[in-house]
Amino acid sequence: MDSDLPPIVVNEVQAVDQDRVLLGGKGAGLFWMASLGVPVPPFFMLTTRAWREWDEAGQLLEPHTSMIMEMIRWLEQRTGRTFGRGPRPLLVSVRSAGMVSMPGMMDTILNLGLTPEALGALHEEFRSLQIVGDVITTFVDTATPVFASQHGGKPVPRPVIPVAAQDQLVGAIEGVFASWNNHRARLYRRINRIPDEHGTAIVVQAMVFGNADAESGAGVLFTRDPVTGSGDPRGEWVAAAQGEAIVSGRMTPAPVHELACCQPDVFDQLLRIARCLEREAGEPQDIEFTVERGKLFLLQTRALKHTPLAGCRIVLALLDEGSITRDEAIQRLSSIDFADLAIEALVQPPADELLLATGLPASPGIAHGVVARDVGSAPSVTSERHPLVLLRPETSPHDLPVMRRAAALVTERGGLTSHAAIIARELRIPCVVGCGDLDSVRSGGEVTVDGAAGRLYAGRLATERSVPEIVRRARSLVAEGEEVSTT
Amino acid sequence: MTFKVQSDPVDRPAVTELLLKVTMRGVIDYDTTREWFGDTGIGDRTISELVAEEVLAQDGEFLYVTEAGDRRLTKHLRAQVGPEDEEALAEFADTFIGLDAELKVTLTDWQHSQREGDPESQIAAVERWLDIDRRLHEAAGRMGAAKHLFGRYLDRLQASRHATLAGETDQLSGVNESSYHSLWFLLHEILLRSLGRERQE
Repeated sequence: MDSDLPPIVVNEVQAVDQDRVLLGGKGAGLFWMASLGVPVPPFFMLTTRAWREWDEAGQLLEPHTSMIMEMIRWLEQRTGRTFGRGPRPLLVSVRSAGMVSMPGMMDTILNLGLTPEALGALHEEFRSLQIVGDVITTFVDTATPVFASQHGGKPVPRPVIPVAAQDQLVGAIEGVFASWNNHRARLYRRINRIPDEHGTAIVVQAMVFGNADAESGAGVLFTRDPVTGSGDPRGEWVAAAQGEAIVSGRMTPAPVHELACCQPDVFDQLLRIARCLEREAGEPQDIEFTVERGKLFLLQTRALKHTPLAGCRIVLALLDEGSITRDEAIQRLSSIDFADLAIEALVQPPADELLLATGLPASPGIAHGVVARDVGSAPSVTSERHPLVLLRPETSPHDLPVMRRAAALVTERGGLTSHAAIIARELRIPCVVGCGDLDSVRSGGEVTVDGAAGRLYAGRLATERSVPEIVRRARSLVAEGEEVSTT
Repeated sequence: MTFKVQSDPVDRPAVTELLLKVTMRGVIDYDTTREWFGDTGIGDRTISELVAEEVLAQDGEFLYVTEAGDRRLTKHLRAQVGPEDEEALAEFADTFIGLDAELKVTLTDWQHSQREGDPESQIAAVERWLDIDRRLHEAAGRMGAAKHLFGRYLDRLQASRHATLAGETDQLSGVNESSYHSLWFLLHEILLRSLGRERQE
């Protein structure tokens, strides 16, 4: 074998570059956590090279199958469990790991390795029909679509899931590889311009049992608030359940801070690890974790998705904490559109007599302007300096040219999914729809539209444009950076 | 400014097309109108006549459609529907109106998914949109000979669909003239005028 080629199968203890192309984002994240000494359930991976060779051959061939089974034996040694049998059965998850995350589009199988013999042994181990029932439900729910799709979507006689653990594993790996090319994944890649040739890696990881007892559970932790960007961790936690129970909605999670009440040591450990991961990554993290009988495991970490306002606060906090340099902060802040972060608000609540109409709030924002009811298309009207508020019974395509120039839209008829609403949202201008008869509102008069409240007022009401202090600071930092680069 | 006089016959379909184009653009300058001559068969003389008839209004170097022009456009669109087309067209319009409601909900969901960065909702909206598009073309296929009235809009919808699927996602719900939503909105309007129906949001 050519040693310059990337590996086909690797496990967590093998030295490997944390290469997102080869391992996918999820895989690279697991290797990264393992390298930092974070407790992750033992795992191995099939790299995107394995996917490429599977894709060319149309099936898993030797020596890949043997390599996989060797890794299963390694997992058995690491966990002290046995695959497909007792006395302590090893169950695994099989997850896709693409370079770009495509949530919900690719297959995942959980609790794989559940054979009749393993079932009996699990019952012996946990002494709980409830736990065994949960494990079976999750396995069948996640495996059935994968194995059913391997019959080309044609009806097949039950059961479709192989009985032997090895057959389950090989079938699941082929199913996850194949899901790279399912209709939804292809469609998603097309509209997001993700190359088809990337392929997907696969993570095969020992399952940990968040449903083992009252000191077990699963959850997610965001190292910062994804809405405000404040430094308080946020997240959810459900006791005595596997993570799938949260995702599927079978169980309602509690705030993650409840873990601190029942298992304070575990919660402290989780926070310490979370802070370490954030510091090492230089950005806030979105972490999935499981606790099995009081022992914490991290299953995944990735960069936290957050609002632009939260983005400002997070970058500045990371700068203040010394986690990132000033240049890095400027670079990250440069991608934020500060104009979107200014909040337009009425200075004071308008008097009741100014309210002309109430409708549905189709697009937020406040704007004032001169009413144009029957605009025609004369340049003398559309190129007026003062802003226009287009007021129509309902919009027609002929209004499009004026709508593009309008400060706000108001319609008598139509709902939140009307053409006017769609266009206003595209234009990011305030829009109120379904106001009813507006005959009393004449062209040429000045009005104010509050798109978030769904209200139309007579006259030009005073508004104030407030910019949060955190946004001011971020904006001036970027401006300083721009000055430096031009001098 | 005065338009250079050329000899050109008053061609009703070409005038209809001109009025539609000017209407959709709102205001059009003379140079752009001139660029269209090759496509429409319209010449300077026709434009001068349309201005004289107050179908088009001239404001400096710009042209726009008057209210009378708007009525003329409706009349032209109605006139191009022959008795043999009426039934098939009405059936298509009924289907279209049902699809229109679905499309507006779908595009609204698409916009929210884009703003929230939610891939699952995004792809769900795209799948629904493609299904609506498929049903639209199926319905168009049942129109028979009447399809000639709207074939070009269906082609343009297909072009915007291809562009969206190639990653130009502003071609789906964007406000540019060639976006799927703008073309759909236009097709709806033309369909209603051709049948003499009123728009119901």
